[in-house]
Amino acid sequence: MTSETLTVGGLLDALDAALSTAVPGPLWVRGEVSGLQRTSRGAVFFRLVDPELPEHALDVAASGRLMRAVEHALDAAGVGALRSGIEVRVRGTVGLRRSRSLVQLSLLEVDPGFTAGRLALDRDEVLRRLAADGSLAANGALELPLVPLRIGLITSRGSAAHADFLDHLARPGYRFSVRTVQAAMQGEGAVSNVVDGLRRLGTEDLDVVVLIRGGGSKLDLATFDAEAVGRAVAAMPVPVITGIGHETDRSVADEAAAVPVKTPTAAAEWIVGRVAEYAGRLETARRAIRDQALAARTKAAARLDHSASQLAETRGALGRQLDHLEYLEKGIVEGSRSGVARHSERLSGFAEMLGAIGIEPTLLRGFALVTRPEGSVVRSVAELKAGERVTVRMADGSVAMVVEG
Amino acid sequence: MTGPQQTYREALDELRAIHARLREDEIDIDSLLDDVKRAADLLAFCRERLTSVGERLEQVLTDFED
Repeated sequence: MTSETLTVGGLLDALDAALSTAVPGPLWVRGEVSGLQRTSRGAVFFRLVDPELPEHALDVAASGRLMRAVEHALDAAGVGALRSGIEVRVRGTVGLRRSRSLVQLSLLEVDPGFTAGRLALDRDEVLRRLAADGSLAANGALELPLVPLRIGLITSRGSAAHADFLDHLARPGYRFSVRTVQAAMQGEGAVSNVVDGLRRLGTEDLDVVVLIRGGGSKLDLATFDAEAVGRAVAAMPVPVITGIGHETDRSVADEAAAVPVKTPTAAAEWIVGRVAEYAGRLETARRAIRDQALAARTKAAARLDHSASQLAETRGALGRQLDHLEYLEKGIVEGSRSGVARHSERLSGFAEMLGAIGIEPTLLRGFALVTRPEGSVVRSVAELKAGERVTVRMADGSVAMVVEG
Repeated sequence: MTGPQQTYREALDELRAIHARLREDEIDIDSLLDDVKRAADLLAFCRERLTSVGERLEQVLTDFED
């Protein structure tokens, strides 16, 4: 029995030919990217793993030139860079990698829609889990600070996002303090960077924590869709503001954050607006207090003036009392004088009446009234002495007489 | 006579009573002199009160209006 001896090249040629016959032309295959590596020229090697059977793996290789087109397409679909852990649907040709005696898929095309869909499904699943245990609502349930001046910032230092944020914060002249923690925002390690940053800032005395990332519209959001990031946001003791620079779908981090805004600039504006609103309310309150104080003072002054004028009126009251005393005095003086006068008038009236009734008719009847020179009436002859002068009044007149024994 | 306890009001009431008696048609001559003397005392007391209260009031008002 003769046995043909093949050269290595001959055998590999035979295998290659058999492979081409068995799996002809380019074909589509799907699986999860694992162990992705890039060369300095941009060529990419990874293993495509069957998610249900992780030990089943296929080597995939792509040239740097092809990768530029692939990455562009993935980026446009919002998937970001080709990386380990994502599911892909790829088209390629199966061949032999001769130096390693391996079967290898040479990449021709990647279906961006497939990966985008898988990522969306993954994200939806993460959101469902976070919602189920209340994590999604936890940060939003925190009370927003009235005056967020102490800010924790997670960003890539020196990035445009970092600069934009600080620039907008600096403009109004409020005294913000910003505690910055560096974190890679994409690629390997980004998730743990962001999670560590959140945890560190969670132990510090801050009003808000800001998570920002700038850049174009379609970027790698995988970091912010990671369940670990969503849970770290949910565990924060202060409200988290996200400004991770994308326009379309909201990431898991956005959904978990108390204040999701679109850009780093918008995050800064939210903070500034909040402080400005408080400052405005303070100013309104200050004006109201001042106005009320002024009004109260004016009112009190008016009341005092009124009291003063009332007091001044007491002068008038004293004057009136004095007038009254004068009136009484006058009445008393006049009353006493006229009272006396009235009595004496009455007395003389009596005298006249007595005179009228008493003497004249008696004299007419022939009687005479004998009086002494001083006017006293002589009532008895015994009262008279010889030689005494008396006046004898009769009805028609008086005559002086001398008593003779 | 006006005792130390007598107030302006009491003095004034007494003065008014004398005034009323002296305005009557039939005044009492026997009490007239006493009434008038008493009235003079009361008037002097009331005037003195008014004068001193007026002076003190001016002081208070001056302080108050400053």
